[in-house]
Amino acid sequence: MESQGIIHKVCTVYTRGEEQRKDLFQEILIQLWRSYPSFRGDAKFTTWMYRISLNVALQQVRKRKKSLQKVEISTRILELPEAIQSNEFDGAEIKLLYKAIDQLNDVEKGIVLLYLEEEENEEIARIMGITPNYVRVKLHRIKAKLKKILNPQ
Amino acid sequence: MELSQLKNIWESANSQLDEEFRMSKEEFRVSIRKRSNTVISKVKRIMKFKIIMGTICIFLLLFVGINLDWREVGDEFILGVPLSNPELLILYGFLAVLVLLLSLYNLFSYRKIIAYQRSSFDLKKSLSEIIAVIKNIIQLGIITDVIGMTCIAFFLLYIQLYKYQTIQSDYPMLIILLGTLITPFFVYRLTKFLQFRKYGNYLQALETYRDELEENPPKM
Repeated sequence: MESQGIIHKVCTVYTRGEEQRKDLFQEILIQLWRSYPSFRGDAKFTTWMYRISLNVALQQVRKRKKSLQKVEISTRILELPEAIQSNEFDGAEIKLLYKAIDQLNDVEKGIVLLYLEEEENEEIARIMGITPNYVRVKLHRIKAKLKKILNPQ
Repeated sequence: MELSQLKNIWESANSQLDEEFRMSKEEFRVSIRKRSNTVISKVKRIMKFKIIMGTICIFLLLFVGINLDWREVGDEFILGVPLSNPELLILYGFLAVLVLLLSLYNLFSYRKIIAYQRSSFDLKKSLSEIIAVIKNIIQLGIITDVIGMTCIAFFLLYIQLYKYQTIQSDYPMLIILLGTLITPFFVYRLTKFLQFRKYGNYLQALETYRDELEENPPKM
C-alpha cells in the first residue's frame, strides 16, 4: 500500500490519458500479486517492484503502439491533472519535464525514472539487468538528450 | 531549465501525484481480482482451453476406439465414405496419440508461461524470458497446424481415392504420398506467416528493448 507511488510514477511515464493509466496500474497490480511468492527478500522490495512494474509497462506500451501514435504529445500534457502543479514549481515546468521524458525511448524512460527517484547506479543496474558502468553510459546519453530537449537553442 | 532542477521538479510533482491517485485497500482487492489483459495472459487462457478440449478429445477417441470391434466390417461414414472398423481404429488411435502429444506440448508451454508470470527477473532477463515464451508459442502453433493439416490431408485423400477399392501400391497411393509431402510445406509457410503476423511486431518490439539493454547489441 505504501509503495503504490512507484506504480503511479511508472504509469504516468508510460501512458497517455486516464484510461490507459488505470489499465496499466491494474496490470502491474495483478502481476505484482502473481509474482509476490517469488519475492525472497534477496533484493530490496522497491527493486522487486520496479522490475515487475517496468516489465509490465514495456509489454503494455507495445500493445498500444498503434493508438499511441495517434495521440499528440500536447494532448497528454493537457491531460495531466491540475493537482501536480505544486507550489514550488509552476505547471509549465512540470509539463516541460514530462514532455522531455516523453521524447526518450521506452528503455531510457525507465532509466531516467529510476535516476529521478534517486536510485544508485548499482540499484538501477540490478533493476535493468545491466552493469553499473553501462548505467553510467546510458545516463550520460540520456542527460545529453534531455539537455537538448529542454534547451533547444 | 537546468538538469539539476529535474529531480526537484520530479519530486515536487510526484508528491502531489501520490495524493491524487492513492488507492484504498478495497480498491486494491477489487483490482487484483480482475482479469489480466496482457498478450501473454490472453495466450495463457487460450492454451488452458486447448488443454481441456484436448483432454476431452482423447477420452472420447479412446472410448469410441475401445468400443469398436476391429474384426467386423464397419458401416460408419466419413465424408460419405464407409470405413472399415480397422481403418477407424487406426484413425481414432492415431488422432488420440496426436492430440495427446500436442496437449502435452501445450501443457509444457502453459507451465512455462506460469513460471514466467511468477518470476521477478531483472528487466533484461525478463525480456529474454518472454521472448523465449512467445517464440515457443509460435513454434507450437506452427507444429500443431503442420501435423494436424497433414493428417487431415492424408485422410481426405485416402478416403476419396480408396472409396471403391482396397489400399495397394498404385497411382492413388502416389497421389496420397505426394499430397502428404506437399501439404506440410504449404501449411508451414502459411502458418508461419500468420503466426508472425499475429505476434511478429510484438516480438520484434521486445527484442528491440532487449537489444537496447545489451552493451554490445547484435549488428542488424
